[in-house]
Amino acid sequence: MDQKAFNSHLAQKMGIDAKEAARLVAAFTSVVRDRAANLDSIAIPGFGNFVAGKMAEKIVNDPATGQSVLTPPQIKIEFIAGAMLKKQVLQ
Amino acid sequence: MNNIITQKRLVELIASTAQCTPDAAQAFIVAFTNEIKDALVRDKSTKIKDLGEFMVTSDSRIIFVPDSHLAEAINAPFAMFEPEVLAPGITSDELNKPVAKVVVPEATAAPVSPVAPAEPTPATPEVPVAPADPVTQSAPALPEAAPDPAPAAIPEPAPAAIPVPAPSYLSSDTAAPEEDDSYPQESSSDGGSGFPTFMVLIGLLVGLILGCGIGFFLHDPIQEMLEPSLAEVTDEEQLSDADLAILDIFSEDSTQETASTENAEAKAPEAKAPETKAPETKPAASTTQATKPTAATSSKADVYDTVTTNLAALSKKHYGDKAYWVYIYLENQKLIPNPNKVGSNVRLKIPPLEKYATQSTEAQRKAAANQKAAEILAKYK
Repeated sequence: MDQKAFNSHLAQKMGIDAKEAARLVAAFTSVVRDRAANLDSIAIPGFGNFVAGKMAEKIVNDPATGQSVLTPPQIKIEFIAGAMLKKQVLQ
Repeated sequence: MNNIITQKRLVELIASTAQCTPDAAQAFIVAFTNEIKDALVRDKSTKIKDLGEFMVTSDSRIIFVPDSHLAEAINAPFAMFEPEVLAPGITSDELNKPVAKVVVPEATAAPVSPVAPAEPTPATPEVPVAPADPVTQSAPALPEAAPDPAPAAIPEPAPAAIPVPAPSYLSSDTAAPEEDDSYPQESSSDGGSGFPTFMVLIGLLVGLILGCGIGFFLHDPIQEMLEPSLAEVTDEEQLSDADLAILDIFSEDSTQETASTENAEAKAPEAKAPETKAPETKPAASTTQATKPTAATSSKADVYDTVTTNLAALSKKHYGDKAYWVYIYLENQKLIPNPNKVGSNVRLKIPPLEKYATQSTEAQRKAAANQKAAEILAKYK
């Protein structure tokens, strides 16, 4: 499903127009981005958790070239699906 | 940092970001999550712009792949770091080794290079060569790529006694000359050359002001000293011939002589004969006859007298001081067109001294008279 279809469905469900739905989605995305940059996690009951964690620098060895590369630290965000979501989606 | 954002807090954040009510935010979260669920059930994946893609893998796992823009925004603080290729043989354990302190002897007067610490010193063979000991300054530390075992060979004669030197950019010995060269210095000579000149100008100005003040206050006394009084005017050029003749004949005691001749005139007509030689004196003599008894100015009645030589002599006669001639002049201004040239046969009224000299002390009276005289004489220069 592309973004337009997603927004239209969302707007239909909420009873609002597509622009308003897009604005709300953008707000949600902004909140997730800001909180993840602060290494905060977002827990949505019945859905899952957006968890942000910092990965320290590490040395990655390339067996093909034999070179060792030092990668800088970075923040990664991952989604951990909740039990209810898994149950509803996977079953 | 490292906080868990609950749904309540999430609703507040979304409401503040989207400028909507908390109820609307709450409804959005429910609808949003339900839509994702439906999309996963229906299409096994759904992509949210600037957020990421939710997918259901073949092994029945729900995964989330963040959007590239989201990842970049989150890792903006680490954007300056780039992956670096390390020297061979370097492992992760090397990164966790504590950094060895680099001690440089304090006695070295040579400027410290900002590249600093790992400079090989082949002159110290006693120090064992450590295999590849990089100095990590920060998390993404970049050791030297060249296989140089010498970096660890740094002499440490007395580590406990010699402190770690400050970075080269803080050393004043080497940087000061460069800084002095780069910026124009205000040498003491420049400031010194300007200071004496300024003081000289100030001194000249003060002297000028003082001189003007002294000249202002001493102008009148100096002028009085430089200008001759009427009594001292004996220059023949200023006196008329008649005045000269009178000067020769009469002196300050001339009034006494005229008094003695008064009776002679009244009694004998032959007194007229010698008077013909000096006909101009006759009216003066005759006039003094009537005024002689009152010349003492002791009484309050008007006193008249005739000029014999000049006003100063008349003042000396009646007031005892030549300086008060100016009061005689003021009293008889209509008869005296020029106080420097007063005819000998002019009958003048001698006013009481107290009429014009109202000062309390003699010195003040004389000073006032001299000042007035200067003002009057100034008109006839």
